[in-house]
Amino acid sequence: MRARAIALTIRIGGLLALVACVYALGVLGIGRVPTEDEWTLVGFSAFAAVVCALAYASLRPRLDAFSDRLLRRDEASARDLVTSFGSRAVRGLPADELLLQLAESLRATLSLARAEVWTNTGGILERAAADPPAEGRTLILDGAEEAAAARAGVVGRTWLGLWLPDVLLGLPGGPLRIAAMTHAGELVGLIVVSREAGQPDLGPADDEVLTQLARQAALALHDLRLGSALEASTDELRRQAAELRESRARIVTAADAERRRIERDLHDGAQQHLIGLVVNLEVARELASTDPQQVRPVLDELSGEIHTALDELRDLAHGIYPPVLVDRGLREAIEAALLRARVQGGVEGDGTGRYPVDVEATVYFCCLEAIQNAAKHAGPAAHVGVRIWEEDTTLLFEIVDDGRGFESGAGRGGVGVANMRDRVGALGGQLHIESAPGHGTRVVGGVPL
Amino acid sequence: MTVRVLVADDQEPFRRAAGAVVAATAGFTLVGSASSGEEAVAMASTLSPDLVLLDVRMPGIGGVEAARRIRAPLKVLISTYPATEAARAAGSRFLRKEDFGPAALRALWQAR
Repeated sequence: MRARAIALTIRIGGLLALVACVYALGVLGIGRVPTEDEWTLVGFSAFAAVVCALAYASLRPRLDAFSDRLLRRDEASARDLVTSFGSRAVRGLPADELLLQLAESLRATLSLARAEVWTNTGGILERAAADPPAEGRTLILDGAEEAAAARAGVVGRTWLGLWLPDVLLGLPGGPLRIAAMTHAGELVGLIVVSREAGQPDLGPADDEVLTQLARQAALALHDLRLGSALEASTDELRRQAAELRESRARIVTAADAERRRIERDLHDGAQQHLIGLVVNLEVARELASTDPQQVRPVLDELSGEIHTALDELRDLAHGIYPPVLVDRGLREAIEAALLRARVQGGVEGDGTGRYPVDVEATVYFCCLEAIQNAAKHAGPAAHVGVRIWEEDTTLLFEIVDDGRGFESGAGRGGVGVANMRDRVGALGGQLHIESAPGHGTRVVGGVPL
Repeated sequence: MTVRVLVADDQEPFRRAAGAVVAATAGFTLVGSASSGEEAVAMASTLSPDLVLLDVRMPGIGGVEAARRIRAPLKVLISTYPATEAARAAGSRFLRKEDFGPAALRALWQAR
């Protein structure tokens, strides 16, 4: 309130000062002070001038708007259309919404019977928005049609009838324009506008509006597509990173568990037998002086303990890294694994040879896990077939059994299957497991060479 | 006098070897063998052994806790590994399994 009062005071003060200046100039111009009669006239004129000036100041915006509406109605709203589309695009509306708003504003501003926006994705032209609303339509463009549309600019019915007659379907018969939306020479889409037959033709000013809108819409659409492509790849990266973190944690846990298992196996197995040996040697030493007859059975027991300890060490070493895999390669190591698991089956490995240590270890331990799973779950009569082969630059493996199977997705396998996936994943490979009750199980995987 | 010995270890090979040591050492006799700390506590209360050999690492309460609960003239903790703080704190004698034999058994009893 106070600010307005100050503004008004300044305005009136300014006007009075202006009037005084004009008066002074008038006095200087006629070379004398006005007479008594002239004073009345001067005072009245000055008052009228102040009232007019004040009234004009407040009426001016309305007068301007009125004259704009009268004189430059179409031009002004078309300009508004272009700028408002730009700001909507910047606000980051979803593509569908943006294109629909574009069609609606175009129809209203250019007094159209119909406005449509088509988008082009790799030669698939799709009606993305229309006012009045219409169902989506899809047209396939060949290379020549796409190139012609990309070069078209703003064209009329003749061009459309020649190049893309299918777009004409359902459009009113009056004046018609097509504006190609292009980005970096590529066709991004089309704006199609039309009036009813008998309505005035679309003029150069309308063509200009269409050109500008097509340029802005192309840019906005391109940005939106780029944005969604970027979002998709970011999501994918995020998913892969999470998977990697989980896998790394599982690998560490699995390695720790494996170390604990080895320590326990050593402690409970070979170590206890060796301790038994040492203690029994002490017994033999005692008996040698007190009861020599009893030494021999103790020595027999010692010999037995030594063999048991050796067997246990051999088994343990085999579990850590099978010597046959080092010496003879995958095929024979898997054959040995089948024998040790006591399952019926065989290995096909024609055309395969020796591979880097990590590849052989990965394929071997995956096959071993699958064989042991089959031995545990497939049933005593099940046959287990293992196949390893090369395809392009990938070493593939497959373990198939004809056993009991299980409900896929029932989560069976747990740690063992997660280990398989992690091992294969660590080399950039993949693993799939298929199974159904009564139809056996198939594990297939591959690692790049 | 015959020293009555109770052995507690979850490892069967050592129980067997310890039994052979006790049998071969004059003046000692094996009265029982247990495979867990709980079993050792129960057997000790009914058999009242003079000497109890307890493995430190056993399922359940383990040898250290079993030694605390058992009342016997001599309790010896045994282990595959060197003595731990817990084993020392239990107030029992400690012996590595590989050092066990008739001579060690006699020495432990004499030094009680």
